[in-house]
Amino acid sequence: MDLLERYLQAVGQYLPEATKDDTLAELRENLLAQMEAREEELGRPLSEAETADILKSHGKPEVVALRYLPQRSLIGPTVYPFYVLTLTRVLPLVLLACAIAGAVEFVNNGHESVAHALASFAFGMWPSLLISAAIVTVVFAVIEWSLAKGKLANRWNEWDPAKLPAVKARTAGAPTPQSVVKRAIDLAVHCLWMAFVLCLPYHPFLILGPGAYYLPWSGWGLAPVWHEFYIVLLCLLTLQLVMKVAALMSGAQRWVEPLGWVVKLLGLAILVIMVTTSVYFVPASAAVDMHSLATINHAVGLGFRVVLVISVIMLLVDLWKERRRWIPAGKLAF
Amino acid sequence: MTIPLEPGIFDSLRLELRRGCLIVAVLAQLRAEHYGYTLRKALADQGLAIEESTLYPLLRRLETQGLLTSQWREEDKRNKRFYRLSPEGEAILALLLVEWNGINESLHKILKHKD
Repeated sequence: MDLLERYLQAVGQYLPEATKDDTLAELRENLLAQMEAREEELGRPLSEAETADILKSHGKPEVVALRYLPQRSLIGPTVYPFYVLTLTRVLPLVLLACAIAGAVEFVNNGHESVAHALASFAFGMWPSLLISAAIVTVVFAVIEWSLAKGKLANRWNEWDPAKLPAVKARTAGAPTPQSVVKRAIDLAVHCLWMAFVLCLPYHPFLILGPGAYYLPWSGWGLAPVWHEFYIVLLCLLTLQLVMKVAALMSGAQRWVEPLGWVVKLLGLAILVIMVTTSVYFVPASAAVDMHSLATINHAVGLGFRVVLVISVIMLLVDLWKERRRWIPAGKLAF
Repeated sequence: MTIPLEPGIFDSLRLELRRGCLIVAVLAQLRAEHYGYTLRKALADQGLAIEESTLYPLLRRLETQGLLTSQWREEDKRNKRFYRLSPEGEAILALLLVEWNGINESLHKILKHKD
């Protein structure tokens, strides 16, 4: 019987005080009855090993005790899909906020190295992400609790089929929609890219490499066209940022496609600005080799022209694909 | 395309199928008074074996829900907790049996169509 008492004590450790004695008394009686029935079958008292077998078949003390506790999930199957959806919406936005804060801090701290800034971002984003995830979890646990108590059940089930979004036309040639995870990663990468571009004026090493140290004493300077290029590039990146955030929000997705076309046209505008000028580097001192400078300007101009031609061809291909989407399939057959 | 079966899928589906049925069986058996051990034995004798660690907490839960009543009483010189279906439990059992019979009939019809 010592074994039985030890078993009951182990079960009792996990039971609430209010019902512990009552539950253990009942469990003791049931187990004793089972043991007595076994003794009757065998015609002799049970050995310790046989008693242990009965207790073992009854279950591990922790598991047995947990079955007496109210069965409730922190977040049940009704609420869980909304919980996951909210997390996939909130966490990329938190990541975006972290990236912007990191970029601003980097720009203000001009002396900080890029590697240090990236490491700060990589390690610093986790507390924000974990705190946000914890807050979302707590909110949904409260919703689950309210549903279990029947306080939210009516509101939770309220919905109007008429308010569902219109069916999206899926036509041949239309791009396959990206998953939320891909869109979130896309947004995070874009944030890093924007942070990189924002840092360029303060850290030319990022784009010119060792050439950044060579430029001041080479006697060359950047032509004013680069300032226009930079401003339009920032506008383009900001528009892309808006587009990528909109792509994550269910209500704003209708703006993604028109914004995509604006981005493409703005990209072309940048190239047109760069092609219409022929001076990219200007002499910054009297001792400059003008022939080398002219050669460099010509090469850079040629490079921009090639990129412009490729971009125009790609835009025309995109336009043709877009046209195909809106033409009935019958008319496309030839 | 054939998707390979997850291991233990049958056990998991069987458990789901049994869960609801066991509650109906326990309620039905408790139209007569029983304490935990004899209830388990009575169910097992009729072909419905149920683990003690499942049955005893289930009795507590059904009692908390108002479907069973219980009473500590001495029997064979030992105090035992006897359970019985409450009047509310009887009404719920009647509804569950209607539902159960409906499901059973439908399933038979479906299986007959298949044959």
